[in-house]
Amino acid sequence: MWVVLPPAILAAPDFEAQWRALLKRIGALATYPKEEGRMQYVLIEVDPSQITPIAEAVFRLVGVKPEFLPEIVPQPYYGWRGY
Amino acid sequence: MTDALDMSRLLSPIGAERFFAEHWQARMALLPLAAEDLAFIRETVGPLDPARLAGAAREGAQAWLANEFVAHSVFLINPSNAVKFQDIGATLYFVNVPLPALTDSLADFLGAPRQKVIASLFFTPAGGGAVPHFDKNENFTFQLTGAKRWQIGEIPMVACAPDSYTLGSTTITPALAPLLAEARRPPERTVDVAPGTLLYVPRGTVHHTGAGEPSWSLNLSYSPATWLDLLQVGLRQRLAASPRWRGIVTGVAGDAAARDANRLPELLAELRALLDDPREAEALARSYLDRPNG
Repeated sequence: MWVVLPPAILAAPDFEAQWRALLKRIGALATYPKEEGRMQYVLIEVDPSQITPIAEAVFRLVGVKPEFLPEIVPQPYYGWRGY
Repeated sequence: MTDALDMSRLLSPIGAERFFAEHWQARMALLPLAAEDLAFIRETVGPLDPARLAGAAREGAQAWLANEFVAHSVFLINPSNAVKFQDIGATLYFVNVPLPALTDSLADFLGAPRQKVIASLFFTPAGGGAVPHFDKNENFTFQLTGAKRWQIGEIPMVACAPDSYTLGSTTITPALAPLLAEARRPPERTVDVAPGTLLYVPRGTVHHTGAGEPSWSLNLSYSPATWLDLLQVGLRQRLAASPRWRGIVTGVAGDAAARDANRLPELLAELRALLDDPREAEALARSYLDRPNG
């Protein structure tokens, strides 16, 4: 998922804590902020039924609709294991 | 009972000759299907089951989702989650479902390479649809179930568009950019399609859709093989057999002695003779159509 945060939201004093709480609540596996946090890439693995509820939670916090992008996962390696 | 897709019969309300003279690559056409033709197409497509179709689609399946909280998003889907995406209100797109009884018939009717015609299926939920865009393919859409409203340009915005484009997008291919810079969006007409309707939309024609109820449609699309492709591929194949044509460019400029090695004038004479020979031209086209990989 990725979302572009409005500058006013980013500048709010308690935004970072709220954003972190939201990421925890939606089960984010990783985040990749770019451009000083304005662009947020968030890695999630969810059932399709959770996509809109997660988007709604993001929208209600930042006022912007997130876009979901497919995650390209490499094929599992079938050779050596446990090294 | 119909046992093949007979495009001549499908086009009979306007006539195949008129279709090619007035509509092909130029103007949309809306045609009613006979009940038996719709029944044949439905039977050939088989059950409209998202999981089955996701497994069958050779070029994968996608879910498109946009709602009051989600910006337009595209998901790659598979047989295990296709129904879940249908349940959350996504548009489903199954790309290149093997239906040779339909695609080969259309390709043969058009005199096009069979590999260039593919079948794809769309499920559109109630309230779903597509934003204004044009495609790079010649599209024949058969409405299978439900009703859908199309807004379609009277004529292509870009004649013989080399690429697809979503209006307003900043993603524009280099081939399209100069054509788009000069293009104007033509007036549109509203077309309501019900099950048993065939809609032909030429490439480059702006269209957008909306569905008031869930609907399934089949799209037979001809990803164009252009005359330029035919000449490039056919001539390369034909001329590469000749050591003269495999020779390297020498003496086009440079030293006077090197200019003696300039073979271009005689090669152009050879090319003219080849192109003037109807049998060679026929062989050129035939070899292109018969290529195994399209």
